[in-house]
Amino acid sequence: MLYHQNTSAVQTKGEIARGESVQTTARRSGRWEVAFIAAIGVGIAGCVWVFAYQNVVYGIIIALGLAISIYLMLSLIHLEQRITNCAESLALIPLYILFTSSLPWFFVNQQYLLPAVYSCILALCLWHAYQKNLNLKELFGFSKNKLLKYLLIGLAIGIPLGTVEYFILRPAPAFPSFEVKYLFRDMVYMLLFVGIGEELLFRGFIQRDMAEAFGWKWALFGASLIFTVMHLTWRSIPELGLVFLGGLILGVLYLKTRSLVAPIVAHGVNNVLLVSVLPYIFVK
Amino acid sequence: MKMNAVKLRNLKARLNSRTVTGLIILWLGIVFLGSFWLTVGGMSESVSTAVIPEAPIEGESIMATFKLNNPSSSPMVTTYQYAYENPLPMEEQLNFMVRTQSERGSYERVPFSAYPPQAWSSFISFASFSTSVMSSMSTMAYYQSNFSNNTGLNLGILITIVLIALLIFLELTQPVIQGKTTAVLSRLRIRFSTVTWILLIIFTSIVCHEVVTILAT
Repeated sequence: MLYHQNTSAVQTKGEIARGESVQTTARRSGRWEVAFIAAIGVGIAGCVWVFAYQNVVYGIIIALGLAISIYLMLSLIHLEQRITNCAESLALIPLYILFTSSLPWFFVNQQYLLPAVYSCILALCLWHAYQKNLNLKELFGFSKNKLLKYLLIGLAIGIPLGTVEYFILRPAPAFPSFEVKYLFRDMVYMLLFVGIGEELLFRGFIQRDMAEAFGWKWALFGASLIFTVMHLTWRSIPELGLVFLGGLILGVLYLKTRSLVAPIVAHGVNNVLLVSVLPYIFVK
Repeated sequence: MKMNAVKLRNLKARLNSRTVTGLIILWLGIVFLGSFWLTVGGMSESVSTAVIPEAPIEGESIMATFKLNNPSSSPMVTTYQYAYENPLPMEEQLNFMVRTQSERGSYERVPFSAYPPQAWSSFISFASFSTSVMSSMSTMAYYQSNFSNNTGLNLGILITIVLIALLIFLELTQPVIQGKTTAVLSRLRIRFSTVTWILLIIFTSIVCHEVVTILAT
């Protein structure tokens, strides 16, 4: 019943050439094209707001409606390929809201919740890459020669970022005492699931496609803004400010290195410090 | 000749990449299902937690339920429920720890969420929509009130209707696609297939939940 069709019928040469450069010189986009992408952004913000502050059911319905509307518009209206790519990347967000908020997570043990939730997000992102015929190596910007350098850069950015975030949130220790096995478990969770999942979505797809459509400055701002919108539920202005700043830093890191390795490491280290290290050092 | 060789190499690289992507998606599916499997497997441990008090409300007592599995006794599973009168001020956290002792050695369990609620709301939690939403999203009450609700708007039915509509669309447009290439329909089919897959997974989980609920009652 469900078919995964050969996407070559729909893909154009523009799509295949996408992996070449992050800092692509963007052509001037039309007013309607800008309005279309902005409308999707507003739709996502509205969806998250309704979901978190008003009614979960309406939030999920808006997410479903938004995803279907974006796909309908993209199929019916002829837009430039770079705008289509950008809209398709943004459409992943309502899809993931729909996906992650409609599964019976209460069945899953809390210990496995994080990898279970993120495996859905990662699968969604990779499915997108599969359909668009994107090369994973190009997408991640993986280079053996620069791996150590990017790891060190990620560490250098992640440590101060995680420390600042800890002093804003002050999370309590998850376990009565520090244990190495939990540290290792969290390192695996944060780097392989959280780091890769979020960086692939926000930097690897959204920021990159926005850069091709509108230039890197707007891409950096737009991707960080969407990243912040997804944290709207925290209801903390300092935390939202930090998330926006964190999004900008990770975005610049991606822009400068043209690789997702450094942002993934920075993101993972930030979270490991926040959850598994600093709460035990600065215990109340 | 040289150009053809380069093109062939690029094509091979792309095919390999597609295969790798497909395999990773498969593995992620295994991780997803594995988490459910491990949860079910964990229920055979000597101590399992039935209720996790995650966000205590000031002034209200906290109920924690533990199940002790002892195959040599009858009944095999004994349920213990503790009511903890809550003197905690707001924002404080309470941890429960259970220890069992048997001939095979001691077993210890710290029954609370893997991460404190604040941490869910940080960078790590964008997927889980932060403290308030995540803690409620991972509860049975959230799921049942939204997906198995007999009064008001039932999301499960809505999702099923949309899924049926999309499946009918995919089925009806198949001959059209085979007859001649219609760009609009092709694009719609490919894009809607992603939505359809997601709805199908959600629908399957709703059915599984209903079956489990019927069996349990």
